[in-house]
Amino acid sequence: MDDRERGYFFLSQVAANTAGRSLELLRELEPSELLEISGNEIPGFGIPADLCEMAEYERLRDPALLDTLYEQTEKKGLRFLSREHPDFPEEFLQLPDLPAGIYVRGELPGKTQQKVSIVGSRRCSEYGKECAFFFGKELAKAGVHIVSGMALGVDGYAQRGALSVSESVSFPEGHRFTTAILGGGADICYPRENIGLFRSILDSGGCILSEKPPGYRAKPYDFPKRNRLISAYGACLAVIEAAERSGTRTTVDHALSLGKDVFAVPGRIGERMSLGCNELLKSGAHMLTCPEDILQYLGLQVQSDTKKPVRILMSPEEKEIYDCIGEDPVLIDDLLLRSNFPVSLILEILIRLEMKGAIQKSALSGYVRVLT
Amino acid sequence: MFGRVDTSAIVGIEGRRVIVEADYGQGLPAFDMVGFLGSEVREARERVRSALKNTGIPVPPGRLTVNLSPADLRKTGNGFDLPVAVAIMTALGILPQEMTERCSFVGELSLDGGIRGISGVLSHVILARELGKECCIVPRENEREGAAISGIRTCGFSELREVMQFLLTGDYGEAPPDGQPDEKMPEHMPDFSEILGQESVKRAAAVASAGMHGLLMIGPPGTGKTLTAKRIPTILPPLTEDEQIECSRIHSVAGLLDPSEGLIRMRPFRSPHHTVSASALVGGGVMPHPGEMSLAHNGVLFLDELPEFPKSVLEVMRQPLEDHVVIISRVHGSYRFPTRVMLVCAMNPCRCGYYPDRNRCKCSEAEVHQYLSRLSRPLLDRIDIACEVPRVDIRKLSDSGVSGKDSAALREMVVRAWEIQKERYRGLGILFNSQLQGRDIRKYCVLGKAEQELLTEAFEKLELSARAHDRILKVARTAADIDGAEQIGTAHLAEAISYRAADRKFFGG
Repeated sequence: MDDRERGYFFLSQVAANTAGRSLELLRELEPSELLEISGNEIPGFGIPADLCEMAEYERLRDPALLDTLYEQTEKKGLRFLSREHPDFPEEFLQLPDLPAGIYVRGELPGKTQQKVSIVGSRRCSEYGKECAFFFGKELAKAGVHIVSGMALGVDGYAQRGALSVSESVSFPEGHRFTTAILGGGADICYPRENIGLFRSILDSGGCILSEKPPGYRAKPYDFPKRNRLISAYGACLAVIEAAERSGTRTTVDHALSLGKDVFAVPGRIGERMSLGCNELLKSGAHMLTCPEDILQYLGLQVQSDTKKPVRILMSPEEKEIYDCIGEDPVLIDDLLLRSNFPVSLILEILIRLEMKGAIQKSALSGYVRVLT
Repeated sequence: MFGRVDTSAIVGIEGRRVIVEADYGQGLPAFDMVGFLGSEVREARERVRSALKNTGIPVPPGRLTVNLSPADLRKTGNGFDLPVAVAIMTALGILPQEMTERCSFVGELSLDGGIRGISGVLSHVILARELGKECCIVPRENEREGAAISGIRTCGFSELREVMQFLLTGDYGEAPPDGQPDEKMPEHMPDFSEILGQESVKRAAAVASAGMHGLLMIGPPGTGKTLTAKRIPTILPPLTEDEQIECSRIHSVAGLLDPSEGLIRMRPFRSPHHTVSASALVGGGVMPHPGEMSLAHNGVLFLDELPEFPKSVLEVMRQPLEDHVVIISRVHGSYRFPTRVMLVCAMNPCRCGYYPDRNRCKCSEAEVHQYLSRLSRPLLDRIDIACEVPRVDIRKLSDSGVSGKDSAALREMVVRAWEIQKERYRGLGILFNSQLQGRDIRKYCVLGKAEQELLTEAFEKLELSARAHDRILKVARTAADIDGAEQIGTAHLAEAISYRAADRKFFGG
């Protein structure tokens, strides 16, 4: 670690506990000089440092402590990449508040690989989950790298979708499926429920990334800042589902301020979880109704063979029931009214149609056709 | 002078023979009672003394000792007053021993010599019959209950004086009312036809009833889960005579038998509130008492808002559900209470009740998960049928004019299936498909080639867990029995698979 790297490492450690304002030091100083400056001199650089920050600054300025911290980082399997490191993702360089460095666990995607950020509500609907998984999967199939925040709801499902491709489609060595950018340290799985996802991202060769040092537990105010990294990393941003007021909004704002295009999946009017996306569409976001929308935008080859509709063979009875089922959930009671079959027969037909992949149970206690 | 009288103590739901001996002799005036007595039995001394006095029976000053044997059985309950009084009267030579020997006595005394009703009379009368007594003397309030037991004469009296009269003259008075009082049916019976729509739920309830399978209904509030559960007893076949006595006995011991009704004729329906304690559910107490599960014996145990029940309470149900009997051990012995129930449960999919309708449900995914995870896998494994109870559009249903199946039609299906199962499992010690285990499942739930293929495909496509396998087979067997089919067909199997759908959706297999 040379002096510049060391300076950045020092600064990233300080920044974690000082809301990032210490980064302003870099306007006046070279990173290698940082360690020479004592806390008392900071106010001279025009930074309104309060006592607490200065104490933290002084504590970390100890070279022995810095060495231990750096060692610990490596021991935990994390890599520190300063903003000047050759591996530091170029995408972040456009950020006005560029972090001093990032901590990476796993492997960063190749610089040439196309990246798309997918975000959405944590408390999404079943439809939202399905959509997130679908877009994650379809884009990953076309070789796109999915960037998201590994949160509950849309984020997590988009990444699961991307990972689901890893077994069925073969890519050249070194292909990465997804990156999770966390609000806390990259060694901590947050939220805890997604520990399975956390592991499989690493197993797939993907990466977990954070600007916070290892061991740092995310505070609520860290997430909007994390979102700027998510929006910066992808070539464009796809919003799957969002309520009117949501954290997704900050990601969108960051993307817009970086000049990125925003895609939004339209939702039904009147649904709480559709308001955010529909609002985005109204104010000019791209309409996202199929993966090709993004693939074309990225200039990628659209695979045509996926569009071939599969014909499902059905008995006349199955056909009769199938014809009663549309895109809106249909209850068994409705089917009883529309056909003359006894309940037991309807139950049988529904299970058969479900196994044939023609229909599926909808989230709202009923059956819907499977989208083809 | 010495007198001896038979009575009984209740252990669990069984009567245990207790002999009351009274000895009267010269000495300083005293009245002692011995024989491992509970405090309510020890207090009998005061009641008996006053009752005798107020009936006009003088107890001359002298040494009076009453012993209740066997001495190692703890006597509790309020039925010992009358036998103690009769034993004393025999010891005093007021009543002839050869008359009192032919009877068994039970009853509580009031100070004025009246006889009050007690609980557990049925078990007492059954024991008296086994002991070969001619007559069982019980409080008048309990006469009807006791009279249900044939092969012994049950006489009810409301005063000590009448008992004396009867024993002295052998005059039975008027013939007691026979054991089968008028078949009094409630004026308004709930009926399945009152539930509009929800045909799939009704079907699930009927299949569950036909094989006594556990049933779990999942759905938002106000969709008819409780209504359905309350109507399940109406589609179960009527209680047989033995079952009536068995149920009445448990209720009698618990003091819950309506004295005017005699035996219990309707299948019990118990729905304990979710604040119930573990011992109130399966039975317990210093002297064990039957719990809700035993009270629901031969009937329906309905647990509404299942996840609200404390985990510890639900877990104690696992063994009694499996063995159909709960054994409670105490220092003085163990007590058996039968618990053959049909378990019916209802729950909301999340705390607010509307998940996965995101327009109404405000629970986070973690909250939903936490709510559902209150139910343990082992408990869910004892529930064969899980069905979703969707919200229905009332206007659409009332316009359609379809009233759906009523209880009578459903009951017909259930009765037929019960008969087939009874015939098939004769001599196996089980009655229903739900009780099949291990090897028997493979023996009785044979699948043809097409069915086997369907099942394999379902496991692959629908991602069912291995646990679901046996339950699907058992339910398929019941569905076939409802149709009167010898072999399980693909239709039966598909229906059984569909009852795993809700389970899969909410609990992931």
